[in-house]
Amino acid sequence: MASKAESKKWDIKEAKKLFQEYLNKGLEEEKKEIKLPEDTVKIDDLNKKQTLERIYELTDSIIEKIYATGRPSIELPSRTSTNIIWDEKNDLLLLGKQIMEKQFHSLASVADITRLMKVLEKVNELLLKDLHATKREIFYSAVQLFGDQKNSDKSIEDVATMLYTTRNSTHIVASAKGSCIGRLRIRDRNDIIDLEGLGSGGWTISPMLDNIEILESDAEFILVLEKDAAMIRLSEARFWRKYPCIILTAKGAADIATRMFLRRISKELKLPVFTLVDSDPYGHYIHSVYLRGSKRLSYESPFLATPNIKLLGVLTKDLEKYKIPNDCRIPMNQTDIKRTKELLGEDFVKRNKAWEEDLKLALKLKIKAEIQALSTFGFEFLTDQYIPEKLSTGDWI
Amino acid sequence: MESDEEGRIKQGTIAQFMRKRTQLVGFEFGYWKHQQYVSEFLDNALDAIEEFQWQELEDEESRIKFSLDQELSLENLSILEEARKDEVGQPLNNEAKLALMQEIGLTSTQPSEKELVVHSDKDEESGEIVDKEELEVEEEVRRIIEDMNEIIKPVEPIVDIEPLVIIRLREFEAASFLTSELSQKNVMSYTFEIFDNGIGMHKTDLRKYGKYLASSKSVELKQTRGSQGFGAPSAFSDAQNTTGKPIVAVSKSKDSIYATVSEFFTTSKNEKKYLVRPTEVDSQFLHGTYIKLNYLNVKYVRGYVDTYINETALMNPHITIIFIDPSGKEWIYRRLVSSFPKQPKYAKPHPSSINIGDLQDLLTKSENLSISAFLQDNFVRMSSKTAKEILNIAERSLQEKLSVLILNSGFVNKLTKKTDDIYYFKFEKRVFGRSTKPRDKLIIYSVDSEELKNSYWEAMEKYNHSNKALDKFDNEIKKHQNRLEKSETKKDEKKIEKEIDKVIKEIDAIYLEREKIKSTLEKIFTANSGLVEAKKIKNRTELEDVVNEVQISKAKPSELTNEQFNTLFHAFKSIKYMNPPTDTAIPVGDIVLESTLIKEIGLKISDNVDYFDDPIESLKTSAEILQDKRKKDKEKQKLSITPETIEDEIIDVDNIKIFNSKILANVDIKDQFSEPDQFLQTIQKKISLSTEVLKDSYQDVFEYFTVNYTRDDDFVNAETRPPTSGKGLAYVVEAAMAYCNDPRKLDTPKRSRDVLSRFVNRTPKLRDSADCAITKAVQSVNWKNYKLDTYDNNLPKGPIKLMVNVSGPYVHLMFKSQSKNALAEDEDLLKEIKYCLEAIGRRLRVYLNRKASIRKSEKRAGLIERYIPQFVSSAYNIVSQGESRYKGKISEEELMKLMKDAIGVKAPPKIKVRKPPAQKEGIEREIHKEVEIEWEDTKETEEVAPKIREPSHEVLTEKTLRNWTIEELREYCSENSIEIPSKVRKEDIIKIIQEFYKKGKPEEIVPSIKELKEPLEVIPVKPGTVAEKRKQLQIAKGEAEPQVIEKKVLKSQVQPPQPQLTQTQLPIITTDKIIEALSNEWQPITALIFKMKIKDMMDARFLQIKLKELERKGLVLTESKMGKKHWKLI
Repeated sequence: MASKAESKKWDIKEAKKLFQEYLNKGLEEEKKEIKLPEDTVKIDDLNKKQTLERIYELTDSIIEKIYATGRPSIELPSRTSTNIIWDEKNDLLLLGKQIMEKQFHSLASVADITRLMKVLEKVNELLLKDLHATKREIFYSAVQLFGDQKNSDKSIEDVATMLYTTRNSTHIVASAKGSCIGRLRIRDRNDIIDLEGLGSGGWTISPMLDNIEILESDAEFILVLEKDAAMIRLSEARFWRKYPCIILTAKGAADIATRMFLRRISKELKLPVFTLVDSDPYGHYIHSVYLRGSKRLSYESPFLATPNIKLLGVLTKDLEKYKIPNDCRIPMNQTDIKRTKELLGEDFVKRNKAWEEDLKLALKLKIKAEIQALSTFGFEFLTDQYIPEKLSTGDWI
Repeated sequence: MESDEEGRIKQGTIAQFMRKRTQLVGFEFGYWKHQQYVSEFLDNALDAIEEFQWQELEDEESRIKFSLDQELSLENLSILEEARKDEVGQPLNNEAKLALMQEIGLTSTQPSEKELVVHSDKDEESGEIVDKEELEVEEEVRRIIEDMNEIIKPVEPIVDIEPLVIIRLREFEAASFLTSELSQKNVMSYTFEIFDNGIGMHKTDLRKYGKYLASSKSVELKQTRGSQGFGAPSAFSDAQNTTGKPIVAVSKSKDSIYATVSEFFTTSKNEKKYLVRPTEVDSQFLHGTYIKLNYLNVKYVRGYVDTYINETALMNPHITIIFIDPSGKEWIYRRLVSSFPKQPKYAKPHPSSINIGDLQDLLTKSENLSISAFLQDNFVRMSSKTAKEILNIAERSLQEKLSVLILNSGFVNKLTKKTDDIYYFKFEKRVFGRSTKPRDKLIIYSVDSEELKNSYWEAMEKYNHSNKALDKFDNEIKKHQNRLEKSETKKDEKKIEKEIDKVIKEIDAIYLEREKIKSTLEKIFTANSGLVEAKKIKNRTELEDVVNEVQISKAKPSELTNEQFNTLFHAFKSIKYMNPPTDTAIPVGDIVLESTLIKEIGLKISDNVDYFDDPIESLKTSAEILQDKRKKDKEKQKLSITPETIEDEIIDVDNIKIFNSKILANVDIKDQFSEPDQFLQTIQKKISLSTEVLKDSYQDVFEYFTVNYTRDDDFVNAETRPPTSGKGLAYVVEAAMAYCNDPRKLDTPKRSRDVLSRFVNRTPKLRDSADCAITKAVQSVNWKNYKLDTYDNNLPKGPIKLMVNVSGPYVHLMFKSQSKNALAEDEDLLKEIKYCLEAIGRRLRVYLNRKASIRKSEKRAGLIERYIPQFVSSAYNIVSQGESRYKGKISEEELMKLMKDAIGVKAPPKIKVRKPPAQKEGIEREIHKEVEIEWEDTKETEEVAPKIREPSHEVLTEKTLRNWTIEELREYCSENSIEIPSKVRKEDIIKIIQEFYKKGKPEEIVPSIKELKEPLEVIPVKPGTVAEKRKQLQIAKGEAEPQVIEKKVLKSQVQPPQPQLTQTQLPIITTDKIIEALSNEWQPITALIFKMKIKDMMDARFLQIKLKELERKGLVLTESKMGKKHWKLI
C-alpha cells in the first residue's frame, strides 16, 4: 500500500471545473425553484404536521361522502404509464393529471380502497407517534387484508400519491441497503457521524432521512458505485484521501433511501455526481434510475432524482481505450440486447448523444464487461489510473 | 236398434255403438276420465257463454250482455262456506219442513194451479215417459233445484253479469253391487255438476240435448271448441252405464221466464227416457245451463282435472271458472280481462281441404239446382269464375270420355273409326208426350250426305290427331313433375316450373285448336244440309243419356252420375285456389295472454319495463325545465318581452326541490320495496342532494328508478303470429311465456311435460303430449340459444310456463285422432310455432342477460359488505386519533349502516361530471348529413332576437341538396312541411325546396315567439358544435320527458274493485206496483207479469229480484209449487 501511495496523483481538473460550475450554478438555482409543467401533479415533500393535515382532510371528505351517499370513494393520481410524463426541461419523470377514483361500492376497487384506508390509518399512527415503519411491518399489520406484500407495497405507494406527498413523508421506509463513506459529516438525531472515520465498511444509509442532518463536507465530487466490490476497493485505497470525495453505493439497484440521500447531499453540497457501473445495460439502467427516477415511483422523482449525475464508466468505448482483454469481455445475450434497445428508445438517452453512441457501440460489438474487468491490469488500476484519469480528462457522459 | 230387414247381419246405430265404446272418446276408467267429463262439459259451457255474449253484442240495445268493464274481485267468495251458512240457517231440510207444514195445515197438499204445469209438448216427445205421481215429480224437481242452488246461490249477485262456470265434483262411496264386478280397485262414485250462465237452451233444444250428433256447432264451421256432437252424449252414456242413475239438466234461455228442468236417461235408440219431463221452474239465473250426473271412476287425484281447469282458465281469462274438487277445495279463477274475444266468422270449407268423400256427401245433400251454385255455396274462395272454370275442365274431359262433342247448337259424337255412324244431336222445341206446348226435345240426326261426312271426318281427323300431341305433353308434364320432386335448389324448381308452364301453354293451344275445330263442325252441321232425323235408333236412350251426362254444367248436384262425379272431383282438385281467408281464425291475443299470466301467477312486472331497452337519451335538468316553464308563463303575460330578459330568469333551489318532489311523488312505490320508509329516505336524500348542486339531471334520476324497479322483475312475453293459411286451413299460432323468480309462485317443474301447456282453440290438451306437433315444434327450438336449460327431450327447463295455442276453424282436421289430443305434424304449422317461440326466446334472452348482470351485482354486494367493517374501523381510527373535524362526532355503527344501505343501490346521480348524451347510430347518420349543410351563419347572427330558429330551415346550397338521396330529400321536405307531389323527380324536389326558401325566407326572419316554444322537429346536432344548436337539442328532447311522467300518473290511478249492476234505467216496477198486483191468492210470476204488463225480459227479471226482496222483508208470503214460486200478500 505504501508503495502505491507514491504513485502518481492525478489532477482531476475537469471534475474540479464541474464542481466550480455547480457551485456557482447551485447558488443561482437556489433562488429559482424548479417549475413543473402545468399538466403535471405537484408532489410535495411535507413535514409531519402537513402530512397529518392532509390525512385529515382526506378522511373528512370520505366521511362526508359516507354521510351523503353511503358510498365513499378516494381519488388519486393514476400511476399508469400513460399518466407518466417526461419533463424534458428538468429531465424528470412526472405524474400527469389523470385521476382515478377508487370506489368502495365497486368490486374492482373495494379491496384497494380498504387497503388504502388501512395504510392511511397506519401512516396516521406513525406520524402521530413519530415513528417509522418498514413496508414489511405495514404488511404484517393486516396480513389478511393485504394478502401479499405486493398489495401492501402498492397501497403504500398509492397512499403517498393520494396525499400528494413523498413516500418519505409517510414515515414508511424501505429497508436501506446502501452505504456511504468519504468526506462527509452528518448528524443522525443526536449522533454526529464522520463518514471518514468509519473504517472500511462505511455508514449504512439510514432510511429515516428526515432525522439526518448534513453538517459539513469538503468533498469535490460524489462517486456512486454500482457494486459493493468496487466500494471495498475504493475504501481500501482510501480513495477519498487522495481525491476529496464522497463514495456511496446502493449495492445493486438503487433504493429510495440511497437515492434520496444522494440527491440530498448533491443538492445541499452542490457537488458533481459520477456513477461507476458495469458496462452492461443493467448498469446503464441503474445510472438512469439515479438520473431521473424509476417509473414506479415516477411521481417522487423530483425528490429522488439527481438530474446532473454523470456516467463515468465503465463505458463501452473504455473497453477499447484501455484495451481490456477479450477474456474479460462477456458477449451479450438476448435479454441484454433487448434491454439495450429499450434503453435506446428512451427519451433521455436519445437526448444524450454520447450516451446513445456508447449504447449503440455496445449493441454493435455485442459485448459487456464488469467493473472488475479493470482489475486485469492490477487491483490498483481502478483507483490509481482509471477513475482519476477519467475525472481529469472529463471523459464521462 | 234392430235392423229393419231380415237377415243374419244386424245393423246398429251410432248411439248403440258409442254407448258401449265411450272409451273411444276418452271415457275409459282411470284418472283421465275425470278430466274427460270436465273437459266435455267445460268446453260446452265456455262455448255457450261465448255464444251468448256474441249474440248479445250483436244486439246493440242489449242490456243483459256481460259488461266486463268492472274489476271482478272474488277474494272472499267461497261456495262451500256459503252452503254451510245456508245449512245453519235452515235447520230443517225442505222435506221435513214440508211434512211439518202439511201436518200443521199451513199449506195445501195439492198444487192449486195445476194449469201452469205445461205439458203441451207431449206429442212431440219421442222418448218414453215414466209416469210418476205429480207430487213425486214435484219433490224430485225441488230436490234438483235445491242441489243446483247450492252452487249458484253464493254467486247470485254476479250470476247475470259475469260470465261464469261452476263445476262441482263430489265423491261418494260407490254402492258395492256396482263395483263388485269391476276389475279396478278403489272405485268411487262421483257426482258431477256444472253450471254455466251461457246462452241456455230452449225447451225444444233441451229435448234434443244428449242425443248423439245433436250439436249446435257441427253445422257451421266456426272456431269453436267442440264440433263433433258426441262429447256430452258419450258422457251421459258412460254416466248411466256405470251408475244407472239419470242425468239432470236444467236450462234457461234469456227469452223464457222459467227454467226447464228435466231428468232423463239416454237410450241406445238415441232417444231419451224421462224421469222428470221438461218442467218449468223458477230459476236463479237469467240464462244458463245446469247439468248433473253421476259416474263411477277410480279415486280422484289431483293433477288431472285441476290442471285442465287451470289451463283452461289461463286461455280463457274472459270467463270466471270455479271448480270444487271432491276434497272440498275450491279453485277459483276469476275473470282477468275486460274484453271478450271476437266472434269467429263462419267459415266454409276450403276446396283444398276437401276429400272425395266429403264432396260426395255434400253433393248428395245439396239442394242446389246447378253445380256452379253448389260450388259457390259450399266453398270458400270459389268465385263464379272459378266454378265455371271447374265445370269447363270437367266438361272438357267428359267430352273425351263420353265421345260426344258439345257444339253451340247441339252435339255431335266423336268418332275414330270411319265405319261408325255420325250422329248430330240437337234440342228442339217440339210438342211431344201429353203436353200441348212445345218443349225441348233431343232430336237425333244421322248424317246422310257424303259431303257432310267428308267435312266431318276432315275436322275429326284433325281433332283426333291432337290427341297424340296431348298425350305427349301429358308425359312431359309428368316427367317434369318427377324432376320437380327430386330437385333440391329453388333455382332448379323455378326452372322446371317454367318448363311446365310452357307445356301447359302448348296444351292450351291445342284446346284452342279443338275449339276451332268444334266451331267448324258447328258450321258444318248448322248448314243443315244432309242431316236426316233418325227416328228409330236402337240405342236411342243410351245416346240420350250420354248427351245428358256430358252436360255437367246443367246437371243437378244431387243427381250426378259416377262418371260426372269423378270428372268433377278431378277438375275440382286440379285448380289452384287462393288460400283461405284468415279472418276466421281468432287468436287470444298477446296482450291478453301476458296480462293473464301476470295476474294468474302473480308475476312482478314493473310499468317502466318497456322503457328499459330504450333509455331516454337526453333530459333537461330540473332547472332548465323550470326555466322553460317560467319563460312560457312570462310570454303569456307580456308578449313584448325580449328573449334575453327571459333568459336571465333565476331559478332558486326551493323551487327545484318542489318540482323534483312533485315528479318523484308520482312514482308508485307500492309493492316494490319491502321497506317504503327506507326507500323514501333514499329518495329524499336524492332530492336534497340534487338540488343543492342545481346540476342534477333527470336522466340520472330515471336511471336510478329503472334499475330499482326492474331488478326483481319477472318476465312475461307473448307473441301472436299473423294468421296463416295453407293447405286449405286457416289458423293462428300464439305462444306466451312467463319466467318467474319466485319459486313459490312458479318453480322449475320436475317433469318436462309440465313446462308446456298445449292449447287448441283455447282448449287445453293434456294427453299424448309427446305425439303432438306443438311439442315437436317446441323441441325443435334451440333453447340454449335463449339462455334456457333443457330437459332430455329438449323441452325448455326453468322456472317458466310456456303456453302455445293454435286457433282456427278447421283445427279439428289437424288432429291426429278423433280424441283430439294431439295435432298432426304439418310442416307449416311446425314452422309457425317455431318462429313464434323464437320471437319470445329472443326477448327472454335480453331479460335473462339483464338478470344475470343484476345477480352479478348482488354477488358483488356480498363481497363489498365484507370490507365495510375494516374500512370503517380504519377511517374511524384516523378520525378519533387525530385532529379531524369529525373527531368524536361519528360512530362506527352509523357509518357501517350507511355504507351497507348503499350496497345494491344504483350509483346515485353523479354531480360533477355530465357526460354528453350518447349518440345512437341512427342519429349519427343524420349528423353526417348535417355537416354537409352550409349554414349561412353570418346572416343568422345579425338577426338578434329570434335566432333560436330551427336550423334545418336554413338555405341549403344546391350542391348539398344534390348530394342527398331522394328519400332524404323527401324526409327533409316533410320535416319542413314543404309540399311535394307524390311522384316527382329529384331535380324537381330540389327546385321546389329552393323556391320554398325564396318565398319562405322573409317569413322566417321574424318568427313569432310562439314558434320558439315548439321546436320539436329539430334534427339532432352533434353536441358541442355550436352552442345554439345544442340548446335546441336539449329543448327538443326535454319535450318528450313530461309525457313519461304523465303516463306514470295515469297508471297509479286505482280502479274501483267492486262489481256493480249494469242496469241503470229502472223500469216501472216499484214495490207499490208489485204489492198492488199481488192479491190474497197464490200467484205465480207469470200472472204478475201479465198483470203488470211487463213485456221485457229484463223487467221480468227485475220483478223476480224485487219479489225476493219483498220476501226477505217479510212483506209477502211465498210458497213453492211444482218448482215455481207463488206469491200472495200477507
